[in-house]
Amino acid sequence: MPRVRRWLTGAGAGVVAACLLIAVLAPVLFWERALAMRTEALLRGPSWDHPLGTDQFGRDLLSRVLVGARPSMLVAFGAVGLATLLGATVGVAVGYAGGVADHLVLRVADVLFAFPGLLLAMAVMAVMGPSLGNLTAVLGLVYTPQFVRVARAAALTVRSEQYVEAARALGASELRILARHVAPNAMPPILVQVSLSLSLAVLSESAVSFLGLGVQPPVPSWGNMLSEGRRFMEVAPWNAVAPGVAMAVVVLGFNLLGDGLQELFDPRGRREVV
Amino acid sequence: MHRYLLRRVAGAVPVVWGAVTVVFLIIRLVPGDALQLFLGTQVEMTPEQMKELRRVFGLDRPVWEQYVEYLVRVAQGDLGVSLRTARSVREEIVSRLPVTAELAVLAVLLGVGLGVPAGVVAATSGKGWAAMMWSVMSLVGLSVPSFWLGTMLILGSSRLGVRALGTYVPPWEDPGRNLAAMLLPAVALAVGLAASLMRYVRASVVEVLGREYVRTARAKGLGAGAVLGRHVLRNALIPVVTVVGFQMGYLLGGAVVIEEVFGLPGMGRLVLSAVLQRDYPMLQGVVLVTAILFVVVNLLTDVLYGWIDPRIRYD
Repeated sequence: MPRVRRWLTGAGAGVVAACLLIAVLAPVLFWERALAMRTEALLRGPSWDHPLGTDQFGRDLLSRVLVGARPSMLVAFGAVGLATLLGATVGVAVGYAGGVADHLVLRVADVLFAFPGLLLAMAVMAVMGPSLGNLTAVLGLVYTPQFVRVARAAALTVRSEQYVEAARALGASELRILARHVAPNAMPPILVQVSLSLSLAVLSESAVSFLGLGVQPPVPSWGNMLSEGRRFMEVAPWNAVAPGVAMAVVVLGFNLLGDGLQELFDPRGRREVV
Repeated sequence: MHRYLLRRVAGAVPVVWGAVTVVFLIIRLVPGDALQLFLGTQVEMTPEQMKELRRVFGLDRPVWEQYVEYLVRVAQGDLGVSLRTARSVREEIVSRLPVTAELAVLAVLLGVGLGVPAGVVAATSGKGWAAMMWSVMSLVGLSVPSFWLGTMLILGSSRLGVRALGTYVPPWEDPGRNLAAMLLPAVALAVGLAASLMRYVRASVVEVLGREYVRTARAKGLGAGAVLGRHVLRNALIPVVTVVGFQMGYLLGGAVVIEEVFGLPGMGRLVLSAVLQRDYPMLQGVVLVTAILFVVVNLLTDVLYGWIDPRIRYD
């Protein structure tokens, strides 16, 4: 890997790690500051007390941006974790087994692909009610088909390898072949898919919260902060700028990491950007 | 070609059927009583009235009967009636669709116009710092949320004193004002598409540049421009058609948020208000129409793909 590329991947990993740390710590440290209203300091610009200024209730914007990392990370890692678990298991299994199950699963994936993820998420939120848990579950389901495809493709290529044949000739059980030969080979493309989906999930969570169907105020999330902030952006542009910058930086971190992983695992490979 | 076409269309039918089924099932996810949820807590009803309403909406019959009836109705183009306005869901969607379609088409045009040339330039810029800059730029483009970009565009243009973004006017009434209102939303949507297209085009051009026929073309003394135009681009740009078709789904999803940001009266606003008001038939209708649109667009790109590149007719 070229040095610049390695450096960029490291930067991506750093951003992701920092964001995770903030998501864990910020709500513990800054929760009060993020929710405390100060009527004497409404929509203030950046100052020593409030490095990013304050919002329309005089709440500290920096604290809110930091606390807002939590729902973002919870939904992203929850949804992608669910999709990975479900998609990889199903994909490796049907790719390896083939036959009717394979065919059926692919058809179901085709149907789910036909829905824009955001729209499906909105529809389910309308029915189930807005909550972080529901959002995580829906997005997890929306991302699953992509994992099924990636895992299935990997399993298909491994299936006909000679070492799998050799293992079978030596009397290894199907389950052992799956666990020892198929699964490890399916890992790299799945990992790349994980980091790409994480960036998509961060964007989706903020979009849904922006539309008022995700994290509900006063609890801050980048999406609902932007939605509130843009009403006052003529007088206090920071309120609309800050949450977006936070989103963009975190998503960029995930993308850099995913790109680096892609090159690490498959240096000549052409990347399928979703 | 006809057989290829037929096969593609036949393949799309089960997907559409599946989509109808999913949309039907979504409403059954409601914990408890959909009717009660819709009515909310404000409306007091006697058990007899509830029973009557249930009969009117057909909710008292077995689920499979409702499912079959739903399939038949959708097949006839009947998407039901809005629970809030009592207007036909189909008419409402038909009146909103042009806005979203125009937004998506403009975004695709802008995305292709920016992304494809950028990808070609990035592919021919070697392996040094310039190439890395292009790659980082495309990643930044992919990472900026479109609805935030849209908000920033509004903020920026108002700071620059451009007040006349205007409200939406249909293009057949005033093309100029229509474009003025649609341009910024289209730009906000197009940036992500351009970034993603650029990556595809770059990878595709780099791959074709390494092919033997390109070496042959160079060896016989063809100039760099002619090689690029006649041999590289013609082959490298074929996959772009598929990518654009595939990205349409994301565009349609992204349009929901962008329409809310810019206050455009399209399908996105329609579905958002349907969600907020628990207008289930409207919600079902919009989600279904979007899914079918997506399937049709993908079908069209597949057909176009087979037409552009005669080698791809599968079997």
